[in-house]
Amino acid sequence: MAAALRLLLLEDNDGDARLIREELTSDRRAGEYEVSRASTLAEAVRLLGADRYDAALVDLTLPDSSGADTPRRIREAAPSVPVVVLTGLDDDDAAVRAVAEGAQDYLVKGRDGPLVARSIRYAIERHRLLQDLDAARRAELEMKDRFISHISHELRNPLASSYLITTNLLEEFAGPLSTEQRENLEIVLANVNRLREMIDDLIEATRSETSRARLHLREFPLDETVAGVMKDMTSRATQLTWRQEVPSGLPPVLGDRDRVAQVLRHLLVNAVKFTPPGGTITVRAATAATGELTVEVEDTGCGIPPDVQPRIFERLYQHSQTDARYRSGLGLGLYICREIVRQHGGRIWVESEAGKGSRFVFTLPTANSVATTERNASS
Amino acid sequence: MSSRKILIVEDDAALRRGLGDRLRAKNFEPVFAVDGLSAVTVAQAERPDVVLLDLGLPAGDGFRVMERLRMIMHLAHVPIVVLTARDAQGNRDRALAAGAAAFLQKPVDNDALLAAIEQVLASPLDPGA
Repeated sequence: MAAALRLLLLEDNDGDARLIREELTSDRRAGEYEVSRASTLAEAVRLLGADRYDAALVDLTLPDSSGADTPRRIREAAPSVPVVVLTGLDDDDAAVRAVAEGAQDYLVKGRDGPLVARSIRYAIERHRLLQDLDAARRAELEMKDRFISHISHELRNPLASSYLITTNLLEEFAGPLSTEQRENLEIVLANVNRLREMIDDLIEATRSETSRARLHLREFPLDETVAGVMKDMTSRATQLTWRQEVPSGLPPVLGDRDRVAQVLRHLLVNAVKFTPPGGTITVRAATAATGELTVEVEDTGCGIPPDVQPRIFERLYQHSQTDARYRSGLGLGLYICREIVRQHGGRIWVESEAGKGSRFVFTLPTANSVATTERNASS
Repeated sequence: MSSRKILIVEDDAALRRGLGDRLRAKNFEPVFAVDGLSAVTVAQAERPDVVLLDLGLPAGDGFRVMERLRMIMHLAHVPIVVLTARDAQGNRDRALAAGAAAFLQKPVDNDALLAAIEQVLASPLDPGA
């Protein structure tokens, strides 16, 4: 015969507790039970911490807890223990809510008593299956990330040699080039660079999901970083007007300079992609009331319809309605921006009107804003 | 100006060729090794001024190569530039701790590669370190 099931019965009413015990022992076919009883939530949490239980039977209304809060706190205390809720006839709503939040089942006292043994058996079985499923899903995600990291790494070697050999030819190490040969090699090089950016994005995006990349925090002047990124971008898109409105007297950013540059680069690449020739791209920065810096990248492009705005920071999001020529890249750029800004403790959002351009805004901490936040947290 | 000898330790033939041609054009004299084992014997025979070292190598990875070069008296202070496809996270600190003078990730910009090599040649390792 199977070992007795260890049950935790959380029930403050002695009469109800006795009835439950009787129901459990009346059906011998259902097996043996070892029942520990608690009358308060605090006592139940203590018992769950001290011993192993196969399941918990939990009344909702207790001296120190009520409603769906009770099963929620039991599950927090012992996530591996399946919970069956006990409820009165008039308290169905809270029981239904508890089940929606993760309790396995609920029983109405005075009505479902005969079902208690079966309900517990099912609860234990179902809970075990769900946990197995969770573990399998986590393992699958980890494997996927390891796989992407491995192929990205494997892609870097052929990319590095393609880059080297193409630039070697372009610099005429192997002899003079005709105009046509040069043009063709320039195309190869542009594509090698595109591949490289995509692989970098892929690695960055998988990394932020599994192990958070560590930030190398230090103070640096924002205007220099903006100027550096813009210089690179303006030479790639000369058909646009570029404006930089970043005052040099701003307090320095307290952040990871390379990562912040990455955010700017992604936002500018996007702005270029969606702004027709003759348009204007402006980078602006200012100090906010919180002491943080706000950075804006504004374009005069096609804009983003309000219904898709909330989704553009999602991983792999690409707007399916836009012209196919805009749908280049992997759809990781804004996701990476959001992750980096969040790691800095900042926020990123978009303000846009279809046809009138977009303005992406993000915040960055300064030594001042960090000190203020810490003061507020400790007071 | 006399050309400086650079040992390129790289198992990928296309990269050996690309790196060799580039560095030769920049007034270096490239010599090559294709795995961890030959890296040490070639270094002993050629006495390079600087080593460009891949980490993922057959027959003893880049860390093992650094370990062994550091144990050979006349090679112990030759500066090493690590050039790897591996993630910088974790590997950069480990490589620098193992005695690399610089860490670069593939694919590296040509200018950054040259700048790193020139820099480690200009400031050789502290012989007391």
